[in-house]
Amino acid sequence: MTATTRTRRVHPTPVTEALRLVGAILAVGIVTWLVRPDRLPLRADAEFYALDLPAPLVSVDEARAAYDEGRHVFIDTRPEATLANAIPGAFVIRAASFAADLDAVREFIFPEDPLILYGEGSPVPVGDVAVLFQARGHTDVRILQGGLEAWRAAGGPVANPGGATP
Amino acid sequence: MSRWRDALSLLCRLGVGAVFLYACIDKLAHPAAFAQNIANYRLVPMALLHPFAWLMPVAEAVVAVALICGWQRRGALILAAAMLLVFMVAIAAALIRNLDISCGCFDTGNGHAVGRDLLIRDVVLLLVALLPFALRSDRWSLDAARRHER
Repeated sequence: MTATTRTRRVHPTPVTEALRLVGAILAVGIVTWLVRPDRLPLRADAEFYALDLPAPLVSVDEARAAYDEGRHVFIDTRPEATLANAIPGAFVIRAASFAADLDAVREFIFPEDPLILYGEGSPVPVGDVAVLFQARGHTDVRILQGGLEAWRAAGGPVANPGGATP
Repeated sequence: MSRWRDALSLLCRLGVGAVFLYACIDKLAHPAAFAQNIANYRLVPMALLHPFAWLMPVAEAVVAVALICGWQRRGALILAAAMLLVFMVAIAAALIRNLDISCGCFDTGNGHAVGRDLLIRDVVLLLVALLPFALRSDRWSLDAARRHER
């Protein structure tokens, strides 16, 4: 028993050595993460990397300027699509009922219109609607960064969009 | 055990160690930029992106120091080979999907674009990392020095 232990101590297997190094890596990683002021947040913000979005993001400030200008069409893509608490003048067009929703407002939205799509917060589900718009030939499609949450937080106007037109 | 084997084994370790050490410096200095580099590959899930981006340069640094000193020599060679395999899979996956991205190998800011030359470089490094196993020499390593002490 003692002999075995001694042999193992003197000749660790390559895997044992690798595991020791993995331990060292984790230890150094955790210590540097605790100590360094520029540490990354443990969870990456998908929005920050905005990788899988089929359309570019537009900041709340830019979107508000566009809203004041009145040239852009705002699209509410929230699946629950409550008619309350939306951006005034927005059309409700959701991924699940895209064709029907778009048909209902066909005379107000043209492929050349600049569109700003928004959801509650994350832009990821909004991307599905952006893809559908692009498939219909819409070329100027953007997604509101931070969604309605960020819009509200920035003091953007919020109202009932039912029946309203831009 | 002949001397040239010892020398070649040491050279392999120092070579791979130096490459890993050089590779980790810019990543350690710019963790956010490196996280963006990794994100561009679209392989690592968002939940793991930051831990991965944080630990990868640390792993390179620890393995580099271990290789250069000859501490946990074979384990370090295995980890170096495993990391090179991961890099090769990532580069190959990027090439297959025609991703036009920077490799993030040595420079997080304005790195080399992902290409076949990087795969060849990693294959060469992988062979160099595995060669000491065939040479069976651990002379001039911390491991050997500690064994002699006992």
